Amino acid sequence: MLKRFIHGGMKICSNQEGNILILSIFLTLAITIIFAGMVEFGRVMIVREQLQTAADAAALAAAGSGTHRQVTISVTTDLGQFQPPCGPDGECPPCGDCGEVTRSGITGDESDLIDNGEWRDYCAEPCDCGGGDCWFSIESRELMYDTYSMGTRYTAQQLNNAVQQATDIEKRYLPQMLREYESEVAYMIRDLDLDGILMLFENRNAWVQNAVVAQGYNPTCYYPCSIGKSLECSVMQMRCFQAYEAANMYYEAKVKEKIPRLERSVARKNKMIATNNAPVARIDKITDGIASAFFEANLPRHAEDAGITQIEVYGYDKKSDPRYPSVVVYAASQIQTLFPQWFPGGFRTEVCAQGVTAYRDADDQKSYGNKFYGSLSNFGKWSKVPKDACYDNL
Amino acid sequence: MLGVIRSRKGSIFVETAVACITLVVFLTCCVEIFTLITTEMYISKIAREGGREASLTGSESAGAAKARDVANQYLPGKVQSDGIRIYKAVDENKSHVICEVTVDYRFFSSLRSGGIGGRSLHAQAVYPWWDENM
Repeated sequence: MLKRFIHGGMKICSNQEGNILILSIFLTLAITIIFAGMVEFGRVMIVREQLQTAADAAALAAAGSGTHRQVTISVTTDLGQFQPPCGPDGECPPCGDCGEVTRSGITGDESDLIDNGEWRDYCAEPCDCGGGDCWFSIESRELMYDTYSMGTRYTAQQLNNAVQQATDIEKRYLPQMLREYESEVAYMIRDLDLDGILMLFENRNAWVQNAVVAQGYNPTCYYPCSIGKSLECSVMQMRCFQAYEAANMYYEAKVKEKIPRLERSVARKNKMIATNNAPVARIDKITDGIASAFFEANLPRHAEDAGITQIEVYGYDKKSDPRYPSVVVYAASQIQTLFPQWFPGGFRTEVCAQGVTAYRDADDQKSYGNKFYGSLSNFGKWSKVPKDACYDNL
Repeated sequence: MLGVIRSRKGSIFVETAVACITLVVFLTCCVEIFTLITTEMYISKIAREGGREASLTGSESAGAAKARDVANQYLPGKVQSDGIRIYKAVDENKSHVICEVTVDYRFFSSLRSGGIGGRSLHAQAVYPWWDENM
């Protein structure tokens, strides 16, 4: 019986009919598993590509929207020359050089300071003969995603120095422009500020009286004559009146014409103060909001769930970081599997994208002569490329 | 006649032929699905590269040229000239550039000219449009 069974079993084992069929079934099963795996893997890869697009657009939008450029500039004015008064014969002496004046360390938002031309408010009023050329040089340039750390142009001390500088220019060159009364004018304005100088020059009586006093006369030309000194006293009085008359005539002929320039100088000073003291808008960064908006616009179609997991902003507060200035977006998506009974959690895929904010390098821009009159966008090469954050962090 | 049917001669050949045909069909389908998946992946990549280039350069034509380059690299001859479309969408609230890539995918096009049936694959990338970051 056993022998017969064994013989029968051997018969089944030794029978080769249907071998190919069995092999084919196994092979088909193996291929089916490979096929299913390939489809699953393909779905993951497709979603990953779409997720990469979403993260990339989000990072690029975040890195490029709402950016602010902080610049520090120096504004230089060629004061030109001053024209000493011409003689009664019409002969005019050669002009004297007023030189240049530079106001350094003006820090602010590039769009305001340069693009909108606010830097011109830091130009000085030139002398009255030629000159007037005013330009700016760039000292440094940095990028910010918010303006909380933005420099507010001049500090109070720097502003006072600039105002004093404007006053000093008048104190230095105004007497030379009024050569006949050079020492008197220098004496008259020695303790005045710019507004005081203008007020003095606009007031004929005050100017004439100060000029007479500067010559050593009594402001009222009243000299009480003591007995025996009447001649001396009368001479002084007469000279005083003559000084009054001469100063009056000089005021009419030469001094009055200096008033418009003085008015411009005061106006420039006031404009500089107003510009400098204008409140700087404190703008929050919009990186997160803009990144989310562009991520949503590119949301992977085949993903069950997708979203940004982290946004890393390498802004001004991290400017020593090699990844400054850039925004890095980390995103993840969940994909439902075709075999949830085996993979209940589905598949998760993660991507990283870095958006780089490029701006022109200040050092390179300086090589273009560092004498600019307008927007810097046409000068210089792009700044350094930040270090790859995704390569480091993933 | 019955003898021919009952004869087992050549049965292995028949079984092999049937199995091979089944396997070849199966493998061909696998390859086709693989190609379909990679095509879907590549058009996403093409749309991304095109949109990114347009956004960075501020030029739609530069974006289109980049997309065509990538298409020629990954899907040579499969993306028609009108299959890549880049356009700006600018209004008061938003400003962005959209790169759309469409491929008319034909199944088994490697076996038969024109393929057997097919479907249109589409991908798009929406990128910001600005030229502020200088």
